Amino acid sequence: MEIRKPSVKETEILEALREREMFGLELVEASSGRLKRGTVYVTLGRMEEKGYVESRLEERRPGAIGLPRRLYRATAFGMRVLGAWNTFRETLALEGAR
Amino acid sequence: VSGRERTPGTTLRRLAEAVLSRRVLDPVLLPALADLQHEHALVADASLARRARVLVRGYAGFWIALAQCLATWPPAVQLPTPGRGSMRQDLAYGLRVLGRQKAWSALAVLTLALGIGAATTIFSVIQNVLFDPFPGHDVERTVAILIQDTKQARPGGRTVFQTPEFLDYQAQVTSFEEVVAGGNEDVLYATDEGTEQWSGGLLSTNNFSFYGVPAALGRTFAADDARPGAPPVFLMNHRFWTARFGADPGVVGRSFALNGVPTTLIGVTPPRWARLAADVYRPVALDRSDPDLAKRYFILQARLKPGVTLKQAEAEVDVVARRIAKDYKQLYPDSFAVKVVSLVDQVIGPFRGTLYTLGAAVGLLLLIACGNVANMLLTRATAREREMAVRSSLGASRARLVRQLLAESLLLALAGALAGCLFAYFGLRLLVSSIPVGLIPRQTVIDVDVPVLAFSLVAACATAVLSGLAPALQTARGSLVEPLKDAGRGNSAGARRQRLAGGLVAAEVALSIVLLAGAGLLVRSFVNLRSVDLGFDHERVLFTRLSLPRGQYAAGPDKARFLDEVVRRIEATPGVVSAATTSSMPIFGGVQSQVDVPGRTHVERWDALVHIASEHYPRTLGLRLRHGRLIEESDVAAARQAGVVNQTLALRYFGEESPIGRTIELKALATPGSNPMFEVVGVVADSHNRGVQEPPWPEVFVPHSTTAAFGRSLVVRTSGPPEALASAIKQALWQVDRGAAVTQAISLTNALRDYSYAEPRLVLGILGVFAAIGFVLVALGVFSVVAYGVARRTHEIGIRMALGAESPAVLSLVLRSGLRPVAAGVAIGIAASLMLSRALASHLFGVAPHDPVTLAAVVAVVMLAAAAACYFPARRAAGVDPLVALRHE
Repeated sequence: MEIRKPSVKETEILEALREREMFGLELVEASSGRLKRGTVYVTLGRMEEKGYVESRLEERRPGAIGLPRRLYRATAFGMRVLGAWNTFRETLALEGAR
Repeated sequence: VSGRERTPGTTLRRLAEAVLSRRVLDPVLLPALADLQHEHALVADASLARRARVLVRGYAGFWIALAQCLATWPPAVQLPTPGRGSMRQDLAYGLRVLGRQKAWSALAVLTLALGIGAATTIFSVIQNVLFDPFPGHDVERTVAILIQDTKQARPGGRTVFQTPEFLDYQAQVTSFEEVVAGGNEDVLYATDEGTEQWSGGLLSTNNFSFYGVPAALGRTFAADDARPGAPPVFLMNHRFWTARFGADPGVVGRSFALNGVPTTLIGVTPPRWARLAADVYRPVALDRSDPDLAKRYFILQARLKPGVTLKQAEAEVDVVARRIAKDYKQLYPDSFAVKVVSLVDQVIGPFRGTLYTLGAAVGLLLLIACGNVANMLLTRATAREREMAVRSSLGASRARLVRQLLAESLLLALAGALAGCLFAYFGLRLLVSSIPVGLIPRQTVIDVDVPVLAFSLVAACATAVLSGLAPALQTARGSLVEPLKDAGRGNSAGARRQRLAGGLVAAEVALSIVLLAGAGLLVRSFVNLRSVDLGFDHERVLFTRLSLPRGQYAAGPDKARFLDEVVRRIEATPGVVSAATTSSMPIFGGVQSQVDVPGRTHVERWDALVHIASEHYPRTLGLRLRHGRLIEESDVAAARQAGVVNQTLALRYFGEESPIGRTIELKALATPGSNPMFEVVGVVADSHNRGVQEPPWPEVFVPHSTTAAFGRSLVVRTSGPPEALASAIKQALWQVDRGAAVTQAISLTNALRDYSYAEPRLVLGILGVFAAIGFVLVALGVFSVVAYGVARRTHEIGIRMALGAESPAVLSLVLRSGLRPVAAGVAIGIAASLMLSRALASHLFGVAPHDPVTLAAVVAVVMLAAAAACYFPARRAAGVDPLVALRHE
């Protein structure tokens, strides 16, 4: 079976979205500089195309102006990809250590 | 987003929608924009620097995301996206074209360099002064409290607090995360020769950790350093260490006798540390039970807790201040306002407005330069009509031609930016050396740095588009056929170009009128400022502060005897005409005191400035007596409670009555051992005592023997250059007491130059240079457009003359057509300067922002210059030989 390899940024995003839904900018802030605001949205867009994450628009307060923000959460598929990739890496690391 | 909402990113969204398909827009760019808008709303109340930083970071992120989308996903609209090779080809061809017309290219580059260089220079100052003035972290969250007397018209207020009051604020304000204290003190350092006075700073020990600044050498303060009984230690300012001790690292660890106490130097501050403008710093722990500390004032600086806005902090501090004011009634005016200001605002204050004004002015200059280069490109377009037509007929698309022409203007702009950066580099040195002391923080380093270079690059690109786009579109729009069959003989494209050139000239003239009107107003204002009668003769007068050894001369008569002896010895020095002691620098203030006149009632608080002076003070300064008599030697000798008032005080507090013989109470002098009641013995003419621009305040002069309170200074009238006598005065002082010191010796003329005239002169100088450059560019612009028009219409003029038109008629025809856009520009310029000159109001003195004389003079100068610029091409046209002209192609 082919193991899907998420990129470093995708891994970072999936790890961050394990616990809860987050906005793009929140992901940047939570990553301590590993994710950049210039790339996070593009990466999220690609991840959504791949089915790793899904998104919804935030609920608006009455009278709020501006665009509604988009909240992202990891899909079950995304989490499986992350899990499989982590297992694969751990297995490799163990074999390497033998 | 509805059409009416003005949220950041609306324009960006429209742009993105135009370029990208919804497949990319919805999942990628709209979330980025939404987060950007949200972040912008969060910092709406933050300081300008913070908002700017958030916006710049946010927009930069958005642009990167947009660029990635463009690179990754197919665009909705197919833009002409040339390959790298063809862009290189365009640039290489552009270089060859520009290289063929060296003089033309050099003129265009010079024009752009002037504009970009000026813009870069001003941007460097703005960037470094407003956005990076202090070293350290979280500067944007650092604030100060300002107590403003609402009855005072002047901006500013009190930012220092007495120790008990300070501690109350520290304890009661919950919006502050951490508070630091800093106060000034005089430090006397005894040498073998005599005593030097150093400017000292008392700092709470957390100052350095608060700003996150380490020592350049040794260490900074530890909390234990301020503990009672701790070994005395101090830090030295880096600049002072370099100037006084030649940056010798060996001095760290040495003991210095400061104020007679052996004190160990533990470290040197980092180079950009300049708190309190002090030479040395001692640690202090504020303690309300310490009688010496309880009377001292400290500047309070605090860091706001994360998420607390300035407005929230201000609301809380306002409540606390009104509570505290009840406990310290004498420190608060009857009605006051409380402000919480960012550190940057507190230190830079009104200079921020000046910088924005200069920024706007340089923007106008850059636009004039763009207009001029656009005109030059248009003029050149005529010569290239054939080339464009040939390239077009060989299959080049219009976009391809526009790109080629834009590549050329980009090359010009980049060369202009390069030369502009050189101008900026040298211009900055000149500018920084003329920025008056105290106007910007000493910590600020103004230089051409990376953000400045980035700005210059952006300015170059913007300039390339601004100056190149219209001519490029105009050129590429030309007909295929006409240029090939007729070499520019008055064809319709030429006429269109002429209209565009006329429009550009009108815009340039309008911009130039605004700049010249601004400069004209500043010239008039400066002339008014310089011609203010100060009320005394400030030429050849030296002022110097005195520092007396601690604990000595505590009684009034002792202090007076000492000062009289010092004055006697100074007067005996060759080159000294007269000398006196006083409590404050003339022109710039005095001891502010509440005043009462027994027998006269008043609702409002009465104030006056008090000068505790010796009998030669009026003679030394040249004050003019109006009624009664001046203070005499016998008044000083007997410590008589006699006072001389100025005319403003007499009129304001005594009205029509004569003040002579009446008693006034000076509450500031109600100190232990001093009597605050003084009999008025004379009235002197007003002299300026709150700076040159402010009208004189009520003022009282009292004999210096009546009180020992307050610091003392010397004023010395000399027969030669005053500063040359500073050393002799120091020696005369040391002959009386080697433990005393003089400091800050400055002539009153230089003090006026530095504190009163320097800023207006600086603004006038910069704006004047911009206006002059703009004026020359406009004159060149008008000349080139008229000359181009004449060249284009030589054939037509020939026909007119062949049909009988006389030379004067041709002259008038050309002049009229040349001056028409100028007149339109003048009309727009007048309207614009009437609207914009209000921005200069705070820089003007004795002249209204809408001064008609200045505006009329500026219009006359511009019209004359434009007429001269039109005349020479017009005369050439009038001298055209019809036969030659008809053969002209």
